[in-house]
Amino acid sequence: MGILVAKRMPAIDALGLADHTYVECKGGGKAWGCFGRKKGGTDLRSGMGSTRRADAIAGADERAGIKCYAVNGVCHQAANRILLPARILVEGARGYRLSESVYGPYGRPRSGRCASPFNQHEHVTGDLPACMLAGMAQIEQEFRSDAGYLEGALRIYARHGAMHSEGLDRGALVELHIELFMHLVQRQLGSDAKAEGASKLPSIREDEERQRIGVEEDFFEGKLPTEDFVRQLRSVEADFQKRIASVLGPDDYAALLGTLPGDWLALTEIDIALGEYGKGPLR
Amino acid sequence: MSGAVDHGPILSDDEYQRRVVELYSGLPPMPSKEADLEIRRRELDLLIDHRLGCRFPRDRRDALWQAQCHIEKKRVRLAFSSLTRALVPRRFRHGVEGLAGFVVNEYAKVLDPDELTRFLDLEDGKPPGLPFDRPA
Repeated sequence: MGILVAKRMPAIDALGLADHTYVECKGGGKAWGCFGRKKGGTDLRSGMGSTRRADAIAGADERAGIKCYAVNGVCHQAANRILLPARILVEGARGYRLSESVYGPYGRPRSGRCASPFNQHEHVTGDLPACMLAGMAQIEQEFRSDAGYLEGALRIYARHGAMHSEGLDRGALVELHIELFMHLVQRQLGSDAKAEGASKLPSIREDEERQRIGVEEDFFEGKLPTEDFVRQLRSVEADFQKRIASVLGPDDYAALLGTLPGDWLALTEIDIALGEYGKGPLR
Repeated sequence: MSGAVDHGPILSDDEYQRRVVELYSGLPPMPSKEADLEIRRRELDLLIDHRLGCRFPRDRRDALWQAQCHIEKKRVRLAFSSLTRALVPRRFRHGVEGLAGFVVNEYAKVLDPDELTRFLDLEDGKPPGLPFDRPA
């Protein structure tokens, strides 16, 4: 199965602010222009799907059956049609919410002389040779990069003696997690990891880890009911995200945590904790 | 993200995409007029759940549906003007520009400014736009 990538770039001639979107298969072996350019964009999102089916949907003109531009849809709807095998949309491209509000995700098929049927080519499967070769080369490169990251993480665990069954004391545990976190920061931010804001990340992570350990100890010593345990952990998690947002720019924040500042994630699920530990406190 | 909009939990990007793909998967290339109407209505409900919140009130959903029906009429009129696109491209562009402004005005009759910003992902002080590109 191939990988389809939604690409975006500022439109040459946007009426207002909008991105042109198009689709390519991972590795760039084949791209579909969707009424415009098909080189030079940045990745918006990607998903696994048949590149041969995407090619059939795109058609020879690479417009995926959108007949009249700006009547049945724009490049966003053409790209969404081609991305159907990967089950993703160009959500996040500038102007997409406007165009989706007018044309829907896949364009309006019924429009008299502009009729734009959406042929989904459900029975087409497999991948284009151009996509398979280029995609495999890129996946291999990324696999090497992931493998390098994991090897580094394992070295950190080994250096701290964390592979042994005996638990680490609080100080050693905090140091281990700071080092692992900075290893992640280095991978996600690259040269930006040396910026002034990023230099504050170790102490933010240290505070988070110490608070987390404190909450965990209180819970396992029977001082907290489960709901309070989860509430306190969530508070620690939210504070951690807010402090990171205060020292990193939005782009670096998103690169590091995969979400936008303001979308504070809760990692601890109350239902799972109650199922695991009961209402508590533990005895 | 606008903090002033609170209509309950919103559908995540992943969940929204999953439901949209589910809604459209297996449809005939050219659905009947009735089916097209039904899909558009369900599509709007998903949009609202994703952008505004799953507890957005029913009467206001109906009002947004009415706004979308007005937008659809305007889009169909644009289809007629596309007949003249080859002859008078500037007039067609003007029509598309007008459509973007019309969309904002129609939804603004139902949504407050924070909701509208979130619903259409508007950027402060900048006009909303549709992309025009051309092959390299």
